[in-house]
Formats: sequence, C-alpha cells, structure tokens
Amino acid sequence: MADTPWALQVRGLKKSYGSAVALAGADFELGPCEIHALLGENGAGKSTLIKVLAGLLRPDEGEIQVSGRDWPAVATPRDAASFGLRFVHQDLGLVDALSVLDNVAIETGYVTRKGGLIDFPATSRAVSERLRALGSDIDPGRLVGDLSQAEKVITAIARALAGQARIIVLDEVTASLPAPEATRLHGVIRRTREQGVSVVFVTHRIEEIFGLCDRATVFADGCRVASAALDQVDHAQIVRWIVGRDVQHRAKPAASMARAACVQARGLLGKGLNSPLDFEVGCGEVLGITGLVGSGYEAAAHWLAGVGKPEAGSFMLDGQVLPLGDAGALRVHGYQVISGERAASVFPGLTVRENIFALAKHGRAGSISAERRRCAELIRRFGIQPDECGELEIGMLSGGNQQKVLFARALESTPRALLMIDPTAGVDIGARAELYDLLRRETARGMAVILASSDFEEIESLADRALVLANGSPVALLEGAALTQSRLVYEALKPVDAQRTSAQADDKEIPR
Amino acid sequence: MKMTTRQSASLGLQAEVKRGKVETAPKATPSRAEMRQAAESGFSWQLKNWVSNYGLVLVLIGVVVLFALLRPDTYLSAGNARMIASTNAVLALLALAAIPPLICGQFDLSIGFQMALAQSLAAGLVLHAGMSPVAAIAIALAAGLLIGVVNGLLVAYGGLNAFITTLATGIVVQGCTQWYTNGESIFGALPSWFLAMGRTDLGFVPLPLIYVLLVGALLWLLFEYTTWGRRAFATGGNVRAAALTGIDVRRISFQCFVLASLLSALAGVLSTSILGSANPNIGGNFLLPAFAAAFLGATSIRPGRFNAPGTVLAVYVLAAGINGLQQLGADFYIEQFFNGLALLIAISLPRWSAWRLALVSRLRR
Repeated sequence: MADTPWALQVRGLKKSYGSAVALAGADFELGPCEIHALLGENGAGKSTLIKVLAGLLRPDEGEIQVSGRDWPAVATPRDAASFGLRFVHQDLGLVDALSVLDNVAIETGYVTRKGGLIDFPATSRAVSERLRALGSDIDPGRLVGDLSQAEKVITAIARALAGQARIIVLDEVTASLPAPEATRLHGVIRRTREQGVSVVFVTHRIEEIFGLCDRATVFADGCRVASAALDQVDHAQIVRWIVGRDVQHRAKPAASMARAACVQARGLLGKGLNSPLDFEVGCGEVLGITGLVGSGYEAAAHWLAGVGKPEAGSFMLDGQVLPLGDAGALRVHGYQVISGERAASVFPGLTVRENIFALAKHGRAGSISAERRRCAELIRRFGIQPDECGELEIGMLSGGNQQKVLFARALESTPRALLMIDPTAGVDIGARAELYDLLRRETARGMAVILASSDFEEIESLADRALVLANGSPVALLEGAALTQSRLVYEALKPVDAQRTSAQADDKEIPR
Repeated sequence: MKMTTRQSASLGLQAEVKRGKVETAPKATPSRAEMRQAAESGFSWQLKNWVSNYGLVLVLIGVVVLFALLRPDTYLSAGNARMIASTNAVLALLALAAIPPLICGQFDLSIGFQMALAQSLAAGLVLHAGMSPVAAIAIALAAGLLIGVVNGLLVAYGGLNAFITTLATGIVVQGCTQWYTNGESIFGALPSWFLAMGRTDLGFVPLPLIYVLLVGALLWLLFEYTTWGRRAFATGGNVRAAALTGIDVRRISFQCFVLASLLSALAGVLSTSILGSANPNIGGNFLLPAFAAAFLGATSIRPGRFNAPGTVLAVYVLAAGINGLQQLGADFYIEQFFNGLALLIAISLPRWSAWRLALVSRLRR
C-alpha cells in the first residue's frame, strides 16, 4: 500500500457543520496522470472535499497525502498551491473585460523587460504556447468576454496550470455547456493529463465521463460508495451507486387532481429551453420543477419569478392571464416569490421590518406604529430569532432567520400562489424543517406552490408532483409513489445519456 | 438584560411554530446580533446607541459651547446665529437635493449646476426680461424639472452610469447658464417682496431656515413613512431583490432624479431671493460641500443611511464650526480643511467602534 504512488490520498475525512454532516469519513485516491471522475448527488460531500483540498475548510478528522507528503494540520490556500493543487470552479473566475493574455498572465506571470516593464509580445508568445500545449489556438489578444463558454473554460485551465501543477480539480466546468461544446473540452483535458497532471473531474453528466475519464469515485452522504476503473463498470452501475439505497417508496397520497387549477402555464419557451413547458398547479398543491444544473429549470424559474420574460407562452393565475416579465403586476395579483439566493432577495442595509414590508408600507402613510405591531406579530408567527428584532438590521440575523424573514415578506399578504426558488439553499437542517412546516400551513389554506429546486431531497419531501427537466426539455412528470429521489435522479440523467451518441460524433468532428 | 425573557419566550414560540415537533439542535454559532448583545450590557448598549444616533447634535452643542466660551460677545449673539442659519440655508437645500438619488443607489453630480441655472433664471428673467417674479420662479422650477426628467430617462431607463451621465449633463447645464448670462453676474433691483422671501425673520427665526426645516421634514416623512420611500430605500439597498419583490426600480430612480432637480432649482430660487443677485459660476462651489453634508448626515439620526434631518444638522454643524474658527481669526480656506476632516472623522468613527467590538469579542472567547 505504502509504495503505491498515489498523487493524492485521502483517508477518513470528516467534517460537520453543527448537526449537519458534510463528510462522514470519506476516502479518495487519485492516481498519477489519470483523469478521475468524482460523482455524487448535490450534498454528497464533493464540494466539501474540494474546499478542504483548496485549503478553504479545515476538516474535523482525517489524513491527506499529496504525492506521499503529509498535508499540514492547518492548511491555507497557499499551502494547497504549494502542494501543486489547482482548481477551476464552475464560475471560472475570469475577468471578462480583460484579454486572454491578461487573464492567464496575471496568474502565470508576465514576461518583463529590464526595468520591470511588461514585454507584451513575449508574454503573448508564452500564453499562446500554454494554450497550444492544451491543443487550443485561442488568440491571446481576444477579450475573454468575447469567447465562447468552452474557450473560457480552456483559458481558465491554462491559467490554473501555472507553476508546478500536479493535480487540477475541474469542478463542474462543463455544467453550463451544451453537450457538443463539452466534448470539445475533452481533448484539452486529455492534453492536461499528458503534461503529467492528474485531473479530478467533477460533473453531473455521467455520460461524458466514459471515454474521457480513467476511473471514477462516487460519493453519497459524505462517504465514498465506490471507486472503479471505468472500463469495468457501465453507466447503469454508476447511476445505481449515485442513487444509492434501494428505491424507497414513500407513503404519500397521490395528489387528488380534483383540485381546481390555481396556476396554469402554457408553452413557456425561450433561451435555456428547447421545448415548450406546460404545467398546472392546483390550489394547495406543491409542484416541483427540477433538473440538473443547466437543464433549463433555472430559466423556467427566472421567467416564473417575473423578472425575465420568455419568448413565448402564457401564465394564468385563477383563470386570469398575467404578464410574465412584470414582477410588480404579478405580486399585486397575489403571486409571490421566495428565492434562496439571499444576494438577490435580502435588503442588507434595511431593518427586518423594512425587509418584510419592502414592497409596501403597512398601515397608513405617515405612521409606522401599525407596521411595528404587524411586524412583531409576524416575527412571532414565523419564529424569527431573536424576537423583537424588527428594528435590527437584517444582516445581524443568521441565514436561516433571514430566510424566515423572506417567508414572512412573501406570505404576509396571504398570496394565492407562491414560487420558491431553491428556498432553503444555505439553510441548516433545523431551520429547514421549520420552513417546511410554515409552508405546509400555507398550502393547507389552499395556496398553490411552485418549487423550483435542484435539491432532489427537497423536491421529494415537499412536492406533490414533480416536473423533471433535462437538456432544456421537460422529460417526466412524477407523482405519488413514483416521486422519489432515486427516480428523480434517474429521470434527470436519462435523456442526457440518450444524446451520448450524437455528442460523440461531434467530438470527432471538432478536434481541438 | 433581555437574555432570560428572550430564552423563555423563544421556547414557547418555537413549540407553537413547530406544533410539537422535535426541537432542533442548537445553533453552532451565535448570530451577530447575539454576539453583539452579549458583548454589551443593556445600559451601555443603549447609551452607545443614543450617542451614535444623536452624535451630531452633541457635536453641534459642543461646537457652540466651545466658541461661545472663546468669543462670548460675537459668537453667541442672536445676529450671528441668524446669519449662520440663513446664509447656509441654500447649501442645506442643495444637500437635501443630493439625498433622493443617493437613497435609491444613484448619484446626481449635476445638482450644483442646476442650482446655478435656477438662480440665474430667477434673477435674469425678472431683471433682463422684465417678467414677474412668479413667472420667473415657475420657469426656473420648470427648467429644473426638465433637467431631472432628462437625467432620470438617461440613467433609470437608458441604463447609463449615473456618475458619468450627471457629470455630463451638469457640464451642459453649466454651459446653458453661461450662455444665458453671458458669463456675467446679474445685479439689479428685484421687487422687494421677492427679496423679503429670503430676508425676513419670523420672530427670531429667519425664513430660509424655516424653508429648510420644512423641506427636510417633508423628505423625512416621504422616505421613512411612506410606501414610496420604502421602495426607494429597497431599490438602493439591493436592486435585484427590489425587482424580484415587484418594485418598479426604474420608475423609482427616475422619480428620485426629478425630485433632486426640483429641490436644486428651489435652492437656486431661494439663493436669488437671499442674495438679490445671481452668479453663473457658483455651481461647482456648492457641489462638494452639499455632498459632504449628505454623507456626514448619513452618520447620524439613522446611522448608515442617507436621511434629511442628519443632513440639515450636518450643514449647520459644519457652518457653526467654520464661523467660530473664522471669528478666532482663521483664514478663509479653513472651511475646506474643516469640511474634509470632519467628514473623514465622521466616517471613521463607526469603523473604529466595530474594530474595537471585534477585538473585545475575540478576547472574551
């Protein structure tokens, strides 16, 4: 064992946040010069592992060795870099307004003349060389903002390979790419391996790991489920590992469709969706709209929030046609939105009271005593802590309590329908349970709920029916006993698999 | 002091909220509010809160007392107080004009030049064109309204950067003023009732101060106690969230620019009536002090946000200080040093207490 030259070896890694366990003794081995797929559902522990390796999180327990060297007890991002670890995250972290040259050279270093002035022609040649080594002929003078998404990823990889890179972690870099463009990247990733760098490739697209990766490791619930060479397992086996446990049937009554339809959406279509989206939500029903990142559910959520506008389609609330793209009109007619992305929903400088009554002051103009009373009531009803926090700035509250303030804002006007977009993102398990209870009280009085989320566990536990999107198209409508996490994963992954053959054909056409 | 009641109350409430569900695990880390409450005992917390809210009032009292002791004869006279109140009323109005765009997250650099234009129009239309003062005032305000509409359209609906756009429109407005006045000051005999608007006292209080207090109070009511004001603060706080909440953020920004322009035109008209003349080049001189007062005002009354009472207070704190220093024999340029340093100190103080708080909570851990 000891003489096996692993590029990276992780043993019994544990990390928990309060009562929430992110890593429960995870193991992981990465061989030298291999492309290793790291797979698992959202929340399986992949991101936590990556954050530990990046020196951003300190694990509670566990050992890490990089090429036989022990990982420091208190690692910083600088330590991670000195161990030869490099990271490219989904958002890439490139500056759109700067050229490829600047984006790469700012990390790899500019070539300078005597006196410290930058020698741009020489730097350009050096950057060009780096890109060519990856099999790409991007002109270093181009602005990053003008590049295609795939070219941006290549630029980010070229930048990350600065210095003595031994291991590069590609964290869902293909998530926002259409399948053909993703395959274009695979050549670049293989070239990276040829430079003697081991690659950890994190993805949700199982089909793309075959033919690209050498081995795969599957995580679930903070542990490794399996590691295997990819020529020895098939797609179905990988999915079984990801989904884990036997298919669980949940005792949930099938939604009675006798309910009157509250929300009706017809033929929603636009950027991000390839085929039109239709659905109905009954009064008191929770409809889940879900899929993997990049599947189109985000686009649908964006339109349904009323901020963006689809190119086609209509939206009706209680039989009344409402204009998507006019958030103000939607809210006035009793259609509220809660987003889990707090940066897009909380007003930081304002008090809790002002956050709740952000759209309209409560009571008559010129007096806030009625609003104060109402606010105190809501704080009690929604269990917002600390109590009597109405005049505190909202930033002083914990994340879960800020989220409750958002629930209070949306539900204060007793809306007829509610859209929730990843409503419990970044909320701990305890507060999550409370929010779910709040929601059930509202549906009990007949409010319709659209739950747009990529968290399959959340969809399973909250939704009466779930519409699954994949590759920009609705692919399944699950309800009753069929609405389980494993089935959701299966449906979300299946259609991508069906396109695998055509994607491979593209790969051959575009040798980059 | 509230810890025990809070805990017992929260247990009861959680039971009600969860309807008998299992209590969740306690939070691993206390929230910032809890840390803050724990770090401070009740009384000193309240005292600090009061001082941070009304600090400018204390500073004003301190400044007045200091100079009253140093120059008891000249500084503390009613005449001097009235002089300070009325000569700074124009600056106070202009500082109030700066606030609406700042609140909704924008910036209007053209207000000083708009004030100069209104001043020249009000004087010139009466003295050169022979109009009645009422018509002249109406035209000056209408011109302000028009500029506000242009600024609002360009920034709110055109999506242009507010800083650059209003810099550009401000320069154009200044050009208009110089075109109209041929770059020369306007003097002459204005009707006495027009001058009286700016030079009369109501009892001991000069009318200009009353205008300032009135406009300040109206702005305070508008922004703190109406739905429109709430929406403006929300737009400035987080424009994405405001749009998601259903606020028409473009309309709010547009209206804020129009309001700013109307207020700066009003400041211009008032200055004509106080001075009895117009100077086409004063726009730039008033611009920076007005913004300094608006930012200084945001450290008081409602610390952390732009507010009308704080702004008016800031104008007079600075004016009282400068007047005192000048009576001690300081040169005219002391004004710039005083304004700049006061602003720097005012914005550093809250930082300083935050640093100290962080240090205290780290030591106690």
